[in-house]
Amino acid sequence: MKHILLLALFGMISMRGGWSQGFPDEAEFSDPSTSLWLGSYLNARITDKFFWAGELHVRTDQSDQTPFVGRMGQIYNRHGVKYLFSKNFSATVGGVLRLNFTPDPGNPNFKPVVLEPRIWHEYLFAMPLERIMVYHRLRIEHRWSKSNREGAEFIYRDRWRYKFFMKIPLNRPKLVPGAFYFQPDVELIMQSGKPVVGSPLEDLRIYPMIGYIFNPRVGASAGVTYSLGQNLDLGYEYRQRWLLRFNCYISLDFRKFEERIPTSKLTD
Amino acid sequence: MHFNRVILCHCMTLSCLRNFVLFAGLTLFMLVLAALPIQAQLTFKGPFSIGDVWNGTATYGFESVNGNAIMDGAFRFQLTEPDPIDTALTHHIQIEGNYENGQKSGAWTFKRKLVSFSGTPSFSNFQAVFPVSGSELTIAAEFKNGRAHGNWQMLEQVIGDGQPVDTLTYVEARFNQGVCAGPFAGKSKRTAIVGALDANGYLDGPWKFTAVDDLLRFDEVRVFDAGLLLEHRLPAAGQQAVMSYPGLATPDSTQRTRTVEVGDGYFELMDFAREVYSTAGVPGAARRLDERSTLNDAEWRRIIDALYTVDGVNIWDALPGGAVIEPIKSRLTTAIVPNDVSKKMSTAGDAHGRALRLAKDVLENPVVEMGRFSNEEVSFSHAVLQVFYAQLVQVNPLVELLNDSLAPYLNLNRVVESQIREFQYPDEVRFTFNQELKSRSYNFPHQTLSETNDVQSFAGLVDLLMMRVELLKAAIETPLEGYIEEVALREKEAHLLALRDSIQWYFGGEFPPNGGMLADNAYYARFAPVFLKRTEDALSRYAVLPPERKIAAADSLLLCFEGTLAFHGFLKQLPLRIERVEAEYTRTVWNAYTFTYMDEVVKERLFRAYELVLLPAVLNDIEQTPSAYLIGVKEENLKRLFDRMLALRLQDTKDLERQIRKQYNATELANRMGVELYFGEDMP
Repeated sequence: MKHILLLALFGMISMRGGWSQGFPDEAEFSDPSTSLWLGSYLNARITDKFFWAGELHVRTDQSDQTPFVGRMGQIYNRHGVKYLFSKNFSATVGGVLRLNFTPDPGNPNFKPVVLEPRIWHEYLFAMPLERIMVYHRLRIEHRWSKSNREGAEFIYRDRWRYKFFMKIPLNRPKLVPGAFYFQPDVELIMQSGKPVVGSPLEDLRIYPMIGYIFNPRVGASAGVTYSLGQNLDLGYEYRQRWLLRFNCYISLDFRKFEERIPTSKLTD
Repeated sequence: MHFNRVILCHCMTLSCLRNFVLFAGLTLFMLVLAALPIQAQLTFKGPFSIGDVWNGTATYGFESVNGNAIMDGAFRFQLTEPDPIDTALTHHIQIEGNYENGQKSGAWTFKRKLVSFSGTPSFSNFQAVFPVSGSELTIAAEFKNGRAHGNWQMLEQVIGDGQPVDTLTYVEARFNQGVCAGPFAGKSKRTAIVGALDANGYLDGPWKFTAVDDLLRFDEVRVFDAGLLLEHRLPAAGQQAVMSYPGLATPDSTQRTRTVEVGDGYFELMDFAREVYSTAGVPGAARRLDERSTLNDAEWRRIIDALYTVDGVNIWDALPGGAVIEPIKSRLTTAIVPNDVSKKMSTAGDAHGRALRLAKDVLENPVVEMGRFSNEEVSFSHAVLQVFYAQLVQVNPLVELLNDSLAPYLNLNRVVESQIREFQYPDEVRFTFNQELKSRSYNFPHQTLSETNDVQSFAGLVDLLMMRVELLKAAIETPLEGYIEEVALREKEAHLLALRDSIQWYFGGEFPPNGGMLADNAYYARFAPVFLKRTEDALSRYAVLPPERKIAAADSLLLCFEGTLAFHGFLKQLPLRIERVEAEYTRTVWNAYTFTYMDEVVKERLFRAYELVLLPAVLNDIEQTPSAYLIGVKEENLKRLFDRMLALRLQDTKDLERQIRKQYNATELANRMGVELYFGEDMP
């Protein structure tokens, strides 16, 4: 995998006309760090076509002594309005407010928390196959971020995210309540903007997970993510992470009761 | 120059004015056109049905006015098909006429041919021409604004070799604004009728009926005045007898008259009235005259009807738009029927109905029919009852008439007197016993019969008849009680065995003898052995019962077996019923994470209480309650449970769902949910 990425990067670098003098001949890979990501996802139906999409994520990172949960990493709220164009395509637009906690708690040179606002919009395509579902997700984010370091300024970047994932039921023929499913999931996150020099690959996440559908309103999943991305300032440096992820999914229906009454399936 | 300018200016002004007027006129015209309903003349051509009897094709014009079709213009209907009764004949119908704004207008013709093609064709101009024979009926009618108006003619002829050879019926009448008024003439093979109607459609003036029968000519004259029959003259013994109608109600001082349509009711009334008519001066000719008049009435009725009705179809009503054709009318005097007489008539009707029913029940009872030969008295009573039954049947029309709407037009006392005169009791009753023909006298109510001469005494006679029938019934059935019971028990046991066989076929997994379908599902598999065993056990217990208890036990067992068979039918439907409840409590929702539809149980606590507690409890109860007699109760349990669940689906059940939280007792759950379930040996 590393070799493939290196080749890809080499290609991009060649197109830019080569690295500046003073950069090393080889990319450098940091030791993988560990994090725990807890996520809750909400899809609340407001009308037949509109949904309120809300996400709350709590993320912790390792510290020197403690893997995964050594210190608070980020908390972020993502909200948006989703419009369902068809049963195979939806688009969402909304905002994110992320709280970035200091990477070195107690260090006076770092602010304990800084805010990072984003505007995001995504386009989700679903492809039903006989038993499984295949999805392509394009998400574009416009983010204003800054380091926790004292005196740091906001920088603006755009993120270009493409995610491919599938849901494969394991114990049921379809994705129905009571079904365990396996979700292979790969997401490539590229970035652009003035501060982005030689580090367009922000993240590559490979995320297999197992999920369970309790009922049409509640589901949950757990998995491990391998994450690899370039350091913004030093493009030759690659950050590696192992993420433990636990998610729950809530679907609510805020429509009037009468609109939810289904028609009878059988008659005498 | 100035003058020229002035002239020019004037001319321009005039020209402008004229243009303005023209423009304004055109605009106004366009506006008026736009405001008019959109009309379009269209033509229909296709299948057309008249009176749901004649299915042919029609062509007619119609206008579409604001989306509605209004028939307008020429109408033509045609039908050619084999005659449904005699397929060798060809049935051809053609109707032509005109509609104006949805109403019949102008000349209309109806033609019906019933012909067969027979013989050798002749050739003319290279065409093969078959001679036809049969009949041809033509009605030429006229309408104005949807009302019959003008001269109408009807002609029915016999066709032989393509030519009319004889006239069957001919009718000519005149209508004015829907009312048949003026001269009326009709002719059939044997009767010619000539008369007239006044401007309001009432029979008026002399109506002459000339009948020719076996070369004898019979002239009858009925004289009407605005519908009221004034005089009825018939030929008898070489002179004209005047017929009076004492059977008709005698006009009281107020000369009350009512209008009666000259139709079925009128002719029925006249038939009754004629039963008691008398002929002044020529009494000996009464019966013959009565028959002749009745025949004339039948012809008259047919001739009047012939203008409107063919093959039982009222043509002008059956055609779209209908038609206003008022019936021919007469006037009859009426009498006020006193309340006590009216009550007697009603009582007589009830008593007669009961007596007739009792007698019929006894006479048609196969057990009595067999048993009467075992006892001489029973045979005799049976024969007497037959005499009374015959009398009851004979007076039936009279009883019906007394309670008919025609009653006020008749002199009921005279009618009763006349009708009763027809009946006499036999001196002796003949009957068969031990294959020997016997006869014996019976005390028939000769005296009562001879004294019956009005409505009141007739009601008394009917009461007496009813009492006699009741006595005879007892006299027949009492000696046969033991025999009847024995036969009845034998029949019931045979029925029981037949039902047992059916249960074995149905629940034993064999195909039922009458071709029914087996309830082949999991519930059937579960219950079939249970019911088979219960049926055999119940029959074994019945077999050892003492004879006196068997009749009651057989009735119960029959109900039980019938219930078991009915339950088989219910078992066939059971999976569907269960699925129906599940479907009602399942909704399909679209999941925004998976982009798929998922089924979800609604009112989950309620549904789980049904699914996990109540339904299993009711099904187990069927299996575990040993009594086969309770199968009907158990089936009702299931039906009530399903019905209640379907009803609760549509109700607000929040409180109920709170109440049944952690409740697993079926009886308690059923109480809370308001469904009556009877477990074990409990019965409603």
